[in-house]
Amino acid sequence: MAEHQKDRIELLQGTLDMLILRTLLFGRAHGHQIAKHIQRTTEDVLQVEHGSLYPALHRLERKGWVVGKWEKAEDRNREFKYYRLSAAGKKQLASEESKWKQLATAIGRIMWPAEEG
Amino acid sequence: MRWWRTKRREQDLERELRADLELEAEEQQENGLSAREARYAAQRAFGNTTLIREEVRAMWTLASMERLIQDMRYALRTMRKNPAYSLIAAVTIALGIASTTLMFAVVKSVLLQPPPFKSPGALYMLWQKIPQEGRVSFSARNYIAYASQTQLIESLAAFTGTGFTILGRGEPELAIGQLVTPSFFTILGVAPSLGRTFLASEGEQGHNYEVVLSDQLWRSKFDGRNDVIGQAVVLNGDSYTIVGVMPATFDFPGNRYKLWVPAALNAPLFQQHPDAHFLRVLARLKPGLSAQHLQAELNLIGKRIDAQEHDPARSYYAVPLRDMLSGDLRRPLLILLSAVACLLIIACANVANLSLARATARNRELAVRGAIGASRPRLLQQLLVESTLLALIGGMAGFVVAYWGVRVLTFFAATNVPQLMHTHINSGVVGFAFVVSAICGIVSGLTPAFAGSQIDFRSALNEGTRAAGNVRSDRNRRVLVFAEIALCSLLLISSGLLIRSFVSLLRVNPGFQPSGVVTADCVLRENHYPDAGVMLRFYREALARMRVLPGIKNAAMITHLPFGGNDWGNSFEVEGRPAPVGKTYGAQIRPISTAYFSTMHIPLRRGRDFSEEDNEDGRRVAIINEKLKNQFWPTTDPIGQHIRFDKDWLTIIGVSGNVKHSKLDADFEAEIYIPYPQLSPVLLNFVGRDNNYVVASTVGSGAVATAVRATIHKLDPEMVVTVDTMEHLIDDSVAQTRFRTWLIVVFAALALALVCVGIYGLVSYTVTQRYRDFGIRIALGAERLTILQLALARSMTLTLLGVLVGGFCALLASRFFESLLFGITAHDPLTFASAPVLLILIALLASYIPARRATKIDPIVALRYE
Repeated sequence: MAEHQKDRIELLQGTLDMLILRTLLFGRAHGHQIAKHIQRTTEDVLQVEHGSLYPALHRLERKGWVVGKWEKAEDRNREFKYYRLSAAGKKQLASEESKWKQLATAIGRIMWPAEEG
Repeated sequence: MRWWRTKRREQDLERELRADLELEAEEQQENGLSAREARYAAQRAFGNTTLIREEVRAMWTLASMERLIQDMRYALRTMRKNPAYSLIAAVTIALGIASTTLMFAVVKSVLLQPPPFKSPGALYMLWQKIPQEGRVSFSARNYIAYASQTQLIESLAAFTGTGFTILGRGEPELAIGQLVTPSFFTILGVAPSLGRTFLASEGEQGHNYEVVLSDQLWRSKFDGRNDVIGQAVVLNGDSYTIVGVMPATFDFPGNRYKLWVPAALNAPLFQQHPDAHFLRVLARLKPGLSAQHLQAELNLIGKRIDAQEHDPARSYYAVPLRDMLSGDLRRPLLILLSAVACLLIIACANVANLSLARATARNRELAVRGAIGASRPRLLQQLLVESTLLALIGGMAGFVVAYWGVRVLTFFAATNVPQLMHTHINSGVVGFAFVVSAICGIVSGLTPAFAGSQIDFRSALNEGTRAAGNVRSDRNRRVLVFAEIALCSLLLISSGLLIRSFVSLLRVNPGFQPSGVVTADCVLRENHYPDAGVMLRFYREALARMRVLPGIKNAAMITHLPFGGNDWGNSFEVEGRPAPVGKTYGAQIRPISTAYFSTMHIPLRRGRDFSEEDNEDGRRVAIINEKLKNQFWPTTDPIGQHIRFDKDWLTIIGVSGNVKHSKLDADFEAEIYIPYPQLSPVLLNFVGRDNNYVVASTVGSGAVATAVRATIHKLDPEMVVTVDTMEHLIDDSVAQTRFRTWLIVVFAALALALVCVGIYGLVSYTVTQRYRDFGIRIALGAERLTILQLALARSMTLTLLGVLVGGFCALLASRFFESLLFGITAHDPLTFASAPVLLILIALLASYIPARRATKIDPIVALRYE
């Protein structure tokens, strides 16, 4: 499997949490949808391993940033575990976003100093 | 975390995973895959769902705790399933822990624990040194002079041992006690368990009739009653008031002392002999000062005192009390501790080896666990938990053994090595045992755990069809067995050296014939025997009566009996040969009766023995020993020459053979024998009160002892008589050496037993591993002997290598205990040759038993063997 992943980027610790929270900003989603959404949006650059996704989801649920609930899907006649962003989760997302921005700018200043304008 | 909540959450996750998995499969199907292919694709995308489940569970629960408990439960189950393995491993560890804990308890209480006194670091013993004797006590005059001049000493105490006859409390009993200045107890900072210790005023003449009892005497003689305080007891004919009882733990300066009486330095005893050096001095240094400060002051004041007494040859020195107490035990104890450390390492290696063998056998089990999702750290943890649990169980058993071992040890120590009496198990020792067990578990589990967690799952699962050995764990096993053999070889050689040294110690000729000699010790008390006249009357009468007892060949008397624990070193002069300036000649003075040499079978080299004419009215005579003769008259005849240690010149009338006096391994000392009646009245009173009668007989020692005791009691019914045999006295003098020799022999034997198990295990394993290989060889016509050689080759190579390396280590280590050896060199060729041969033979035996199995393989069974 290692060869296939060459052009994919390993997610930084904690980054997956932020991406999940950001995905849930659009509304409820179940695990599969979240994984697919991240993959599609990043044009398959970020591959979400199920092995990390579910533990991450449950970690966020335990921290109270997301709330899981079994609900019927719109297109299928089956129940899925849908996650929603809680108020605390929204706050957490905001703080992680700003932290991420700071980090990205900081790294950018070192990597591409000339583009700084 | 409540179990039902955990359970619901797991069901929840299960459902979530299934739902999402099905969705993935449906989507794949919509992309055009068949139902089956879609399902597989979905499963591939999800990967190892067990692992996901485990990780999510870890998220919700205190997973590590839970895992640990799970592993422990699993470990206990595995242990129950393999009782033989678990038992051997636990017993092996228990052996190692028991002996290590025991030795540690001893070392801790003797070497590491400070003496049980108030700030013991500041306590020093003070001594004098003269050229021919290393350690001389203070005289009363020296003590008083030093006490009045010192600036650095906070407090000073003097003490000296003396015998007391206790009367009026049942049978007369002789108790060895101490005369101590009242500061003795306060300087040590020990409180009595009952009553009080001495007041400063009790160090004055006339106020000194108080006594403090030891716990042991209080229990044996006074029934442990609390109302003894204030009661009177008769000691040596005088009435003393009991003022206190010391706790059982207090036994300074030794456990043979049963009572303490104030020493009034202005009393006649001290005033009559102000220059006799018999006071031991204990000093407490003022806070913040070092031994160097004390030594500087000792040098200064010592010189001043020497000048006053015109005795320039003395120098003064201080020894920390702590060093005095552990004394000559330090090195033997450290050696024994190293020996048990070797034993413990061997035990660990053995257990590692056992679990390595088992880990290999468990390859498939581990591979299955790995294949269904157990991660490597998880397997590693499980194996470590198993070995640590085993070690802790073994450690607990070992601790129980050590606990009882300490009791047995203190029981034997009471008569052999009194310093070990205080060995006890405290929290430090418990902690030590626990930590060592845990380390054992981790160390012995680490090798197999790494070998086990690095299994290539696929080949392990297929192993049934290929007799594949784990090369890596094979090498580990060999290294372990090699290390065991090397350490065992080191231990065997070391204990061999100590045994050989002990044997040569027992073979030492003491210079006299101890067999068949009974000794009877009695002390002529001042109150009953006030002057020389009565003393000599008792002595003559006792000896005359003993000599006519039936079955008695010979009887004699000496004041300072060989191996009797007493000595009288004195300076002396030789007529016409003055000692060089600043020096004195020293010799041991031995007042004896007639027939002493013939009773003890000490050869007379020249001249004649003392006769009855050599009495208080006769010419003053002396017999010197060969050592003294060779010192002054190596080629000429000393008979007729004159020497003196007191006022009168003595004419030398004979030369005797040399005699060991206190230790078999000590050098001979220069000795001057004189007739007991010719001691001056002052000296007779001072050093001549101890009469040791020696009786050579043809009948059993028991009958002689009774007869001798009866004879003395007929003369003086209140006399305390201590009867012993000369052989027993010599035996007592080697008790400590015997004790440590036995200990190391036991440790070496245990190590040898463990190594046997290790080698046996290695060879059995090899035979099992190569079962098919051997079978094929036999089928192709290999000789049984060739098979045997093949099976033995590996273990014997290891043994030879181990023996070589161990022998080399022993060569290096033997330097460390050279000073403990007697009669052999540290490179004793016999030991260095025989110990390896013994080890090789035993290794051969231990490997032959399993190797024989290889020769009996039925090729047909072997080829089918999977």
